Amino acid sequence: MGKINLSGISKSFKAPVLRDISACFPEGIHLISGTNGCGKTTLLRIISGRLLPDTGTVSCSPEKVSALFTKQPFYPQLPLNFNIEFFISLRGIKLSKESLLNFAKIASLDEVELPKRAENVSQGNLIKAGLCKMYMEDSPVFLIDECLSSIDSESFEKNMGYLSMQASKKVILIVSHQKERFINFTNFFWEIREGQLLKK
Amino acid sequence: MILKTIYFLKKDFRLKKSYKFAFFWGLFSSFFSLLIFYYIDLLMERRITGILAKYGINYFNYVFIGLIIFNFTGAGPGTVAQKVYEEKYCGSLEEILAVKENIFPFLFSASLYNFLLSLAESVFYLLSGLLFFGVKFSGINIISMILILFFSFFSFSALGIFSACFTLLFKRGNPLAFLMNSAEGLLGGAYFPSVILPFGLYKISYALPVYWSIRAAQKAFYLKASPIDILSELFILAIFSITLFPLSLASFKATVRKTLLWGSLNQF
Repeated sequence: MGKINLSGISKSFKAPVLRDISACFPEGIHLISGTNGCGKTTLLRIISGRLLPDTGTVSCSPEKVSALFTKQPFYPQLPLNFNIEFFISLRGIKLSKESLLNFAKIASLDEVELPKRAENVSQGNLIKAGLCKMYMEDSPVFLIDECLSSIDSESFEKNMGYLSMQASKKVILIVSHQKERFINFTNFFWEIREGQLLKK
Repeated sequence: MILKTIYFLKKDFRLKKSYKFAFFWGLFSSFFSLLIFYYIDLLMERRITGILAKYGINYFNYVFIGLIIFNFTGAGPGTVAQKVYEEKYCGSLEEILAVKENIFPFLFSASLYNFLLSLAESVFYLLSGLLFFGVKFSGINIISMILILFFSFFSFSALGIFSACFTLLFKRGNPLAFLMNSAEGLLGGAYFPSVILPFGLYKISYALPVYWSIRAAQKAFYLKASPIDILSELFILAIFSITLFPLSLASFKATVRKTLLWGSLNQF
């Protein structure tokens, strides 16, 4: 079971971005919104272990966090299926073809896209491949940065349906501007304003 | 650890496979450089000049070993910085750091393919020398060569890791890459014995591991020098390895922490 505790998190990039944030995220879907540059991605990067805060601590084990950012890093010259296989292997998970096809289906990623080189795949399908990878990692914490907005409505509904099913046992943090799109799926609403994280 | 290393090897092999032409072009270029030096040597009537007389070899034979060592160290451990940049660009470095994996197995796994490739290229050089350029292998002391390559590997990996630190911190502009690619070519004795350099420059070459590697390799390859005969060179290479390698790992760890603080892992 996942639970994230933030205690006194501050981060500055020349100017302060996050100021002394303390919060607790229980299981469920959390939507974090806020204006451009308010620090949403910075917060997600800190929770995911990709960025160290200037002060404060995050109490969730980072190895149990799967994150998907807008710039999904893949090896452009290699097929999507191998990219997924490689990245999950970094967490010690061995891929089975069956489970790849199963999770690709859940992420609405068409099977025919899997053998294509990442550089020949659309942005939307790259995001779906990233979701597929994240689902296969099956961590207790999912962090999703804005990318769900890039996929078509049908795939969006399908992925959100899956995430809702997982919400009872996982902490799922989603960053987005499009609050209305998530309203039916979200359990907790948060907003970052002037460096503070506010529960709505 | 083993699973990850296998996947890094598989991934690097597949990446290289997607650039088949570049691979064969690399081999052709290596052969081409040998050809150039062969004809320079022919121009000098394949004479054994005074400086090379102590090895009993002509210029081509000298440069042949220089190129092998230079290639082994430059194409293998010397490419750590480039590998780290690639892994950073494609996200695996960030992923490894995010899951709080030990960074050293990552460095090893990410560099392993290039190391194996540089070994294969060295074998290609050796075969070309044997088959097309009349290089004799009768004087070689294999044990000495293995020891030289072993210590060279750690010394050059250390320089490669320092170079990777520069890449992570400053992204572009890497003085160590210049040192490894150009300064070593001039001072290290790969293309000509460093002793012909002005005294001051010659003394600087003492500070470069490649100078000792090439000097030892010439003796081990052509004079059947045993490890005892090249003990001073091996000792200096060992000192380089023992001091530089742990220092480079500690620097890399500190650099990674710095980039995590700066948030520059996704900046290029």
